[in-house]
Amino acid sequence: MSSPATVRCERRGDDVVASLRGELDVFNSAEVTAAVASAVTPDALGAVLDLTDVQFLDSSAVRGLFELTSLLAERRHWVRVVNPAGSPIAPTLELVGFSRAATIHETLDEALAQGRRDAHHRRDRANAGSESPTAS
Amino acid sequence: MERPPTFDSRTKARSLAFLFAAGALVGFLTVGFPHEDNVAGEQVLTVATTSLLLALACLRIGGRISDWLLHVALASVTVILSLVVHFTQQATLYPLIYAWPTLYAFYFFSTPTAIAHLAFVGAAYGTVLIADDTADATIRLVLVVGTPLVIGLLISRLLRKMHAGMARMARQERALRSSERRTRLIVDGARDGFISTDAEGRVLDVNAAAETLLGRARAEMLGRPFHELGVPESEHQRFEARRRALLDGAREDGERHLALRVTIDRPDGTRLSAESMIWAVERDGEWMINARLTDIGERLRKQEERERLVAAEAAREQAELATTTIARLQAVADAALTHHHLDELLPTILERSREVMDADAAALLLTQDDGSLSRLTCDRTMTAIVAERVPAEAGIAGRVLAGARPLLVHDPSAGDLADTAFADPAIASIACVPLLSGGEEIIGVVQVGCCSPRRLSDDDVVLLRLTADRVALAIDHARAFGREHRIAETLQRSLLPDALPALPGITLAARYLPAAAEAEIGGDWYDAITLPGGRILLVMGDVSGKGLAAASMLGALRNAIRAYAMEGHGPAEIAELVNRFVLWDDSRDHMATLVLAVLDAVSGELEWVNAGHPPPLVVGGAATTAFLEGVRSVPLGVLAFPGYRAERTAIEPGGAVVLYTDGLIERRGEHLETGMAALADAAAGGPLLADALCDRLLATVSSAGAAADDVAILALCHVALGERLELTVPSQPSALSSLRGLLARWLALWDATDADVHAIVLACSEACANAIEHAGAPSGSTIDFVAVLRDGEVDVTVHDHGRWRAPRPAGDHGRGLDLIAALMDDVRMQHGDDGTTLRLRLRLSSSVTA
Repeated sequence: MSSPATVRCERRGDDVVASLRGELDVFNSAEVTAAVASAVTPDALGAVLDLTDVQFLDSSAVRGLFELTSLLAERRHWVRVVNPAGSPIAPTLELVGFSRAATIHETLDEALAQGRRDAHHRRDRANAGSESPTAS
Repeated sequence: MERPPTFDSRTKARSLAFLFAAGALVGFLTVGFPHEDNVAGEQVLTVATTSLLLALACLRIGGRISDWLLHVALASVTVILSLVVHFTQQATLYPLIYAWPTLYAFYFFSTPTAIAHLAFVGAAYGTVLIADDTADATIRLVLVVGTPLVIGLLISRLLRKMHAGMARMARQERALRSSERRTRLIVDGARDGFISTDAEGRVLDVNAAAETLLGRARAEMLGRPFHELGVPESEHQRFEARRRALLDGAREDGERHLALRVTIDRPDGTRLSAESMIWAVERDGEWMINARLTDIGERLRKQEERERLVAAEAAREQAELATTTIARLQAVADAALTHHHLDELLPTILERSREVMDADAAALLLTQDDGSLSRLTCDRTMTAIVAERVPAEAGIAGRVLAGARPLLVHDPSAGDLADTAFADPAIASIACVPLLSGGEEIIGVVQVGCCSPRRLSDDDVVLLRLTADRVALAIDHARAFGREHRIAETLQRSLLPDALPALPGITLAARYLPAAAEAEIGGDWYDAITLPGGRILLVMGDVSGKGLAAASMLGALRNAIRAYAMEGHGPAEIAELVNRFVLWDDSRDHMATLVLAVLDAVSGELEWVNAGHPPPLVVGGAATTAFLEGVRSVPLGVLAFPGYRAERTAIEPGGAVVLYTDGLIERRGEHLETGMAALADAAAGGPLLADALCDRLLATVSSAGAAADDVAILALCHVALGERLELTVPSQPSALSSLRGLLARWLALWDATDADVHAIVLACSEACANAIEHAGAPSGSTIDFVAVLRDGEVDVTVHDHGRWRAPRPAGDHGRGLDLIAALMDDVRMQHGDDGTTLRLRLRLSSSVTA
């Protein structure tokens, strides 16, 4: 059963969770990534892309996700991705080496927790010594 | 022997009384003037008195006396006479006295009876003679008997003769009287009046009928000159002249007859019309004129009546003829009402025009756009309706067109006749009048021809002009109708989808067949809308009524359904919503039947709802058919809360679903079941594409005769999933999703591993996306996708029809192709004139392990 792609973005504290659903391909990936990019407002610290319910990703969508993660990183948001191992798009993500762009977590809670913790550590390090101003 | 004369008893009694009286007289005379001394006077007196008394008795009894009393009385006379003779002692003269009773008997009785009385007389006188001892007794007896016998016989004979004569006379008298009576009866009883006049014309006699006819009493007329009895004064002289001429002629030649018609004014003011037969007759040297008058007033009246009837009949026939002509004229005008299309109208109108004129041939020539004429010719047999193009200047028609005036041609020239194209060379007169559209513009001519001996008259031309008016009107009507019909068709088309949506894995086709010769569009409509998620909504509906009202409701429903569907409502919800929509439209009392069906292009799952519409037909993959009966609810616009419920079924791969309107299954004189069975039979022909299926279904209607109602069909065929999967992929966003779904479903058939499915689906999606995105094909074009399973290896060909190849940014294109190359065993790209073909191959791992 195919279904159209949908995006739901919600604020969780200082962060934004964007849940993507359906099939992402050449015809909708641009809109989807744009919607997520605008949902992650400058005051948000980080973003989680929940791809658990995404059924399909094609190369355009993958490219869109790459672009989205780099855009968010440029805006100095932390980014985590949720996708369990057995999901339909797991082979694609693996094939294109998406883990290079963002850390992939099994669950949303894990992604949120780890993302916040890492960001916290990073912020602490930056505030404490600022020994490494180019850390990323 | 003649019968004795009969007398009545009164006569007999009187005669007997007279006899007694005579006897008494003799007795008294004998006593009074005795001739001898020895007369016994007292006895004679007694006898005479007795006789007198008897005479009085006879008178007294009169008519009541019977025959036997007469005989007794007569015998008494004899006895009395005998006593008188005895007492008077006179024997010499008395034999004569005895003759009286005998003669009486002979006179009144039959001869034998009279002889019997005579014998009694003889016996009585004999007794007297013996008692008186008279001398010469024998001689006396002979005298007494013989004398009355002879005289009596003579008397009776004479009497009989006399009586017979009298009887004859009486009979003649009676016969005469009755004859006169009869004549009078005949004359008086006759209806004809009889009048006889003398030579001077004075009335001698008239009968009863004449009294009635002349209106005057008989007494009034007698003696007056006939011509004074009502003959109009102006006629007097003529009447007199005739009378004299009749008499003069009659005096020379004998009888003369004269018949003439007379009118007589009655005293009461009325007038008698009579036929009279007058003849002169001579009687005893005198000339008389007799006339018989016959009242012909009645006859005249009847004749007038008859003439009036004949005239009325003629008038009626005239009126009937006029009525027939008017009816035929009307038929010309009516043709426009029953035939909407000019091509159908013209032959009909031509034939009816010919009928109006009762012509042998007729032609209709219409001016065409290029200035030539189109000509339609027919003759009496109607078999030869010929259509052709002719130059506008030719022949009589050309002259009428040029002059714009009717033309009547007798004995046309060979050239003119040839130009009319009337096949019959015997055509002797031709009438031709222009056809005026709107009473002004000449749009052609109508002409008729008649064979000799009939010659068309000016009246015929007038009739032909009337016909032409109606022909022109009908043609105007049909042309206007044609325009109207085109508008209606345009409107109809605008309400039906321009193009049906396309999705990989399904073929969609629709047909709309308007009912023949209908100006107004019907309420049938269909629609097909692509829904998100590779689904498609099929709509088939029928709004009650026709025309603009139905069309506007149809349009509103169509748009409402589209809007509700786009909002994501399911079929049942949409049906509920548009039901309210129809109900709320108070201005029109509309109803609509509707089927909504949502099909998932990948799974073939069908969710449908039926609001009073004929059930959709589902064709299975093995060419089995079934109607989706399910719950058939009420039509839209009937109930406020109809409670529509959707039902689900699945279309098998290679199967089809057909929505249609009742026009497809309704046939005149047949059950709905028959039409549905025929539909199912036609659909069971096997799996195929939707277009071919529609054509096959339509053929069932056309083979059963022209559809009486509009027919709409919407057919959806689902792709067959065999070793070869062929898909047509439109360049639409939703198309790739369906393609991937179908491909995954197809691969699942062959037990492909998840990894293989993932690889093939991703690679194919990339390939198709590339083809769509980069092939530069115009929008609306499609991509051919074929996947074949051959010896455990999946071989995919993606072909686009791009004619123009845009320069591609290397990075973009590269990533897709790189991905494909990473996923597939083998990738080949081939560029050709008709587009680019990408071929991908992957050996399935399950097959490798098997």
